[in-house]
Amino acid sequence: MKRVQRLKIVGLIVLAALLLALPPSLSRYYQGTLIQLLQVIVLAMGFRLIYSIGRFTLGHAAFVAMGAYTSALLSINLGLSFWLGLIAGGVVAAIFAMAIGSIVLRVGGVYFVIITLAFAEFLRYLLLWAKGLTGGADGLWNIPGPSIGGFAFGMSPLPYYYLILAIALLSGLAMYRMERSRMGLTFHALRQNHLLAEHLGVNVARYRLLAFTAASFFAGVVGGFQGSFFHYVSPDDFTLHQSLYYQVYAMVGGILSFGGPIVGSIVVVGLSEYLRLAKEVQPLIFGVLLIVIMLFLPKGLVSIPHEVAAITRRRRAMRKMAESAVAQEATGEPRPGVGALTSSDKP
Amino acid sequence: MGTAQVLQMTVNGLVLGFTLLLIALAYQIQLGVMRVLVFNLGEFFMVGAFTVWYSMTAWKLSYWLSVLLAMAVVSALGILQERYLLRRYRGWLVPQVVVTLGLMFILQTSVLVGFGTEPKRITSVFPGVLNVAGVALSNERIAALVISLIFLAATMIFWRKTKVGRAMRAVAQEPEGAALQGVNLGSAFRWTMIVSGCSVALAGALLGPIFTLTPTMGASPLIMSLIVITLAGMGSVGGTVIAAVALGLLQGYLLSLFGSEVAMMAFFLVLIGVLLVKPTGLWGQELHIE
Repeated sequence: MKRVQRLKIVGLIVLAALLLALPPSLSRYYQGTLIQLLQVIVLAMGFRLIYSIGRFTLGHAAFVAMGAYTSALLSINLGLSFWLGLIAGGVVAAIFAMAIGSIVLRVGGVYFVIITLAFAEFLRYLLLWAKGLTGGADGLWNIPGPSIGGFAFGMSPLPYYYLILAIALLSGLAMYRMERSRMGLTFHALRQNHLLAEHLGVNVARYRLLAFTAASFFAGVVGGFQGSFFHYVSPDDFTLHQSLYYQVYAMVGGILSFGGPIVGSIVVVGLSEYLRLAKEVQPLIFGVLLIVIMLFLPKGLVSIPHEVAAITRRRRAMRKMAESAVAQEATGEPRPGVGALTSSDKP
Repeated sequence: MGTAQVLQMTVNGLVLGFTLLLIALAYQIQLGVMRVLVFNLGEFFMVGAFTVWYSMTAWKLSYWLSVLLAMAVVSALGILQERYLLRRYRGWLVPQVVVTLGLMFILQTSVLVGFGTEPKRITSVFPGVLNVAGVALSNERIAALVISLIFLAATMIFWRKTKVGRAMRAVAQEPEGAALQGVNLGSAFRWTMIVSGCSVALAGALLGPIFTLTPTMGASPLIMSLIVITLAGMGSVGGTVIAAVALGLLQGYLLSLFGSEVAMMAFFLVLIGVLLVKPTGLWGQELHIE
């Protein structure tokens, strides 16, 4: 067990070094892909955070949209600095999540899935409708990029990469702390048996709202980042499919473990990069992955080592049994149990 | 705004309402008998419309034959899906959602790859307009109304009066009990997929000539019919009829008066308003899908 832990730490250090040192030597295209990957990792982890309280959301993109539009509007109309806008995007998404969550988190199961789905579409239509503020279907253009200490983020994606890396690490760390604290245990208790948790004195509604709000805050921050990275937001960035994709990443990786959404995002984004599919054809891969994972590996890709270990253990046990049977046959001794049965069976 | 306009808006709203009802009832039957919530029903709607379009343009079949073909295709897809993907997840929400979303992606993308993004049109089978007291109503919409009413009546008779319908109702009430009484569960599930598949395919075939066909055309009927069943409450057929027709009419009026964005937003606002008062929908009971 110690060895595994040491291996994990070494792996993390190597990964961190790669994340910091590798991107400058990559092409702009791959820097862009990495930025997209880090964004979806945060969102898929947010999806899992909401799942961990026993709610399955299909409307996470709505909170990304809120963050994106908030920070874009603040920096375009009020000239607010990017950094304040980024925080404001998260805060606005969190406030709305609190308001909406206090209504919709009461209903569970199927109802929650449908309402979050409907809410995301509602927000998209609202953004299309309020043309005076949001520019309607044209979206918002010329969102200024961030600058820090006189250094303005230019056309290169590299500074953006480090920014989203920092955001992803901070929000990942925050969610990891939540997961490994008393709060995380409470979340899982809620998912597994909310009635029992309630009887044990857990304030179910408050914990649910907390998880929902936290996930939405991170989504809002990612949204704010996205707007300034592309210098452009439009309702088309936040369609139904976006919310569904976060679910794909989390499910393919494994919804039950913390690393699942991370692994899932890397594998799915990596796979669609590797296959170089047109954007329209990508969902086909997502669909096939979802079904195959659900049928054959319901705990996701992260459970592969466990599954393999279980299979080898079973194989080894079978082999041992077979070997002992062969050995007994060679010595001519009747196998215990079987021999006794046959001898008493004889007429 | 004259009476003519009001009448036209009403007819448009009713057409939408009855189409939503066709999809929402398919949902209710599946929820009731099989305890599954299928997210690719919008894609079945789309496949139904595309089948009609394809068989009319490529094979020059008549509209009616095409509609029957669409029903057969969608039912077959439904039966396969039920047997291999849904049955094992009965009453188990998360895998249902995940698997059916996967199918939604697959169906949408396959149709996109097969037929392209260019919007298709089904040539109208009921051209011309009907004059009712000096108001011109398109024949197409009137026909859509009449046909969906006939289909709904036929479904109700099937559900209430036939042996298969009775078996399905028994399974909906108590699957184990029904099985003990000799009801074949597999056959009840197959019939569920046939009835709901025909219903959804018909909705696609009726709305096809009125709107244009795209691979993503299923998304908004899906969301609207999901809102209808949530509003009505899961398991309530009467409630579904009221909710579908009311929301269809609301949509019809708002669409003409304020545009499609407001109409879609209203759906959600109504839903949230109702859920604030009664979290299980207006006429619904607790549903046992966890």
